[in-house]
Parts: sequence; C-alpha cells; structure tokens
Amino acid sequence: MPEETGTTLDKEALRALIAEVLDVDVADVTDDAHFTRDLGVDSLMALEITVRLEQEFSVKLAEEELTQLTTLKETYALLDGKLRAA
Amino acid sequence: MPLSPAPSLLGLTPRPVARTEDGVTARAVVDPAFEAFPGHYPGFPVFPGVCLVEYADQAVLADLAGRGHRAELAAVDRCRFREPVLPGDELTFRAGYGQDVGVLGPAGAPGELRVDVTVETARGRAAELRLRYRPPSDTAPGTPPPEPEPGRAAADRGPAPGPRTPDPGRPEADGPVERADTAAITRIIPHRYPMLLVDRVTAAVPGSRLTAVKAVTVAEPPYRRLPPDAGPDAFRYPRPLLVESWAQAAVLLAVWDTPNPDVTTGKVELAGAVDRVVFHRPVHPGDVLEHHVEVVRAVADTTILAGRTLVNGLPAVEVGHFIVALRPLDSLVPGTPAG
Repeated sequence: MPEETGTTLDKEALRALIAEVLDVDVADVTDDAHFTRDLGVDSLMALEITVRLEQEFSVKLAEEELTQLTTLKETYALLDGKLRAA
Repeated sequence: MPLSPAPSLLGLTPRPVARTEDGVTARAVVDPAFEAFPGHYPGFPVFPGVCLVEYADQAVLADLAGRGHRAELAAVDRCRFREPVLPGDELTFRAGYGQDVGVLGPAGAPGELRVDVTVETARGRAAELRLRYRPPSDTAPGTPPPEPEPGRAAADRGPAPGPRTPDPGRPEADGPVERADTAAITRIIPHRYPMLLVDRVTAAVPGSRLTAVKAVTVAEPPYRRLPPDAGPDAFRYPRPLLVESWAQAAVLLAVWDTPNPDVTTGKVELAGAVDRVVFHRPVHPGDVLEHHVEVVRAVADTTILAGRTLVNGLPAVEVGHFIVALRPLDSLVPGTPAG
C-alpha cells in the first residue's frame, strides 16, 4: 500500500510539487491562484499536473475529476478526499 | 584545437547579437525553403520543435566555444512548446547560464552547466527550454566512435530507468501485437521525407506500448554539408533528431487507432512538452535505433508517453515524458486565436 494512504496530505508539499511542474515560484502558487487564469496553465500542463499527482500519491483521477484541478485549494480538497477514502 | 563542425539538419547557425557574462542572445530566421518543411508537414509546414532545440544548442555551443569551452548536450531537462513556429518567423533565443561556464573545465572536476533558453517569435513566446551541458565525452581528437562491447553490456547499462523492454515478437496479455512497415506508417502519421524518421514498427499494442526501428545512414540530410576534412565527431547523429525519431514512434502509438496521415484534412500533431531527456552513447551512421515507447496517460486529444532508444541493446536516449497534442488546423493559423 502507498505510504500516503490514510495520512494527512501535506499542503505545502503539494504546493511545491505544483510549482515544480509549472516551473514557477512556490510563492506564486497561492491557495486561490487560478491555474489557468493566473498561472498560465494550458490543457497540456493540466495533464502533467494530473500525471504527477497520480504518481506521487498513488491515486487515480477520473477524467471528470480533472476539471476540479483549478486552484491549489481545490486540488488539495480533491486529493485529500481521495486519500482519506482510500 | 579547431572544433569539429556539428552535423545539423538546419544548415545555418543562429547569429549571436548580444553576449553578457551569464548568457547570450541569438537570432535566426526560419528559412521558408528549409528542407524539412515538405515533410513536416505536407500542406502545412511547421518548424519541428526539436529544431528549436537544435538552434538553441548551436547558439549555446558557439557561445561556449567563443568563451574557450568545448561542451556537448547532456540532457534536455524540460521543453515547453507554446505556439508553433512557422516559415519566415524570426526567432530570438535568450540563453542564460545557471552557473559560471568555468564549471565545464578544463581545470578541476568538470561539472554540468544548466542553460535556460526562451524562444520568441513576433507573435510572442514560442518555447522554453532547459538544457544541460557537459564536457564532450570524446575529448581526444581522432578517437573513433566507441564500439559496443557485448561482454560489458550488462554492467555498462546499469540500472535502466524508464519502461521495460518487452520482447518485440512476444504477445503479451495486454493485447494483440500489431506491426507496420514504412508504407503503413505513412497511413498513420503525417511525417514525410526528409522528416520521416521511423522505418518500421516492430510491435505495437495500441494504447499501451510500441517498439520501432530506424536505421541511421550517412546519406541523410544532416551530413550533406560536412567539409571533406570532417572528423569523427562530425558524424555523430544530431541529438535533436534522435529525439524527433523517438517522438515519431511515440506519435505513432498515440494515434495508432485514429490515424492522422494528412494534417490538411485532420488535426496537426504538435509536441507540447518534452521532459527529462538524457543522452547516453553517441549514434553514428550504420547504427539502428530501437525505440521503446509506453503510454503514460491519455486524455482526449492529449497523450503523455515515455520510453527510450537503444542501439545494440545499449541506451542511447531516455525520454522521461513527451506530451503530444492533436490540434485543429484552423486553431494554428496566425491571426486567429490559438485553440
């Protein structure tokens, strides 16, 4: 079993991961910065975020869930919910 | 010691226009007569993304040479291709060095130099590249290309990251194995001579994995302009073309079940990103590239793939992630909003 399962998701680690994928400063990834409008995320980068999240946290995101990946706050909520349910 | 001319598909070098302590700016115009355009793609010429890497590479190598350093491209850590580059575009490359170029030696333990490059056209940002350089591996002039040593192969290979290497002929549980000869390849992807860089698909499990081969020959366009006294280094196959050849195998897998052989009637295959490309052994004429590709994830018209290229069973290139997207032709014509 993945070691993250059932544990609390570290929001700052998630912030750092997203900043790394997007190649932006961690400070730019505020809780409410909109990935598309504020951080220039296009559909390709959204898919990259998805793949990295799936690899890092050993979860599977359904296609309809990808539309929820809009901000760090929303991403955290989605991921945290999935990890707690696991 | 004079530098060996690097084989190039482009035939021209970006013109440096400004040099600072930690970088260089260079310009180049995309020649509408560029020989790759008829094959990339027929009816809708798009400058191949890897050619931006090659231009950037040339600009950096020329600048480093001017500073007294020989180097070679060790890795492409990251490429983001924002917008397609078209015939006639004037390109501005801004390269910034992550460390003092002295890290490349010759004194002390030579290290790697990180270079961040932005590429702009008159329409705006076209690409961002992060390249890594190391001192050249063939430092002695006149050293012949290294021959593979079968007895050392296993030790040489080390732990191989990336996808497994399935036996091309062995059917696996994940689906029937298909194949494609060159004619069949041209019914799946739009690339054509001289930019069709896959000869044969030896095994494909649609939606999952693919192996393909390409034979490298000295009759290919990159070798056309070599001077008569060119040394062994000049016959290295250009690294950006290694990536392009692997990427074409990746596109074959991405569109295998929805062939897109003509961009003028369908969609245009565009590289969106290439990450964590590492170059190992140099490739020379006579080598056969064996590409291994796996699908990492596919959503709608976007696919992420990964894999590597072997020569004689030894790694030549590893590709961490390659993202290919199919975009409608009308979203790419300048003057209309990009899709």
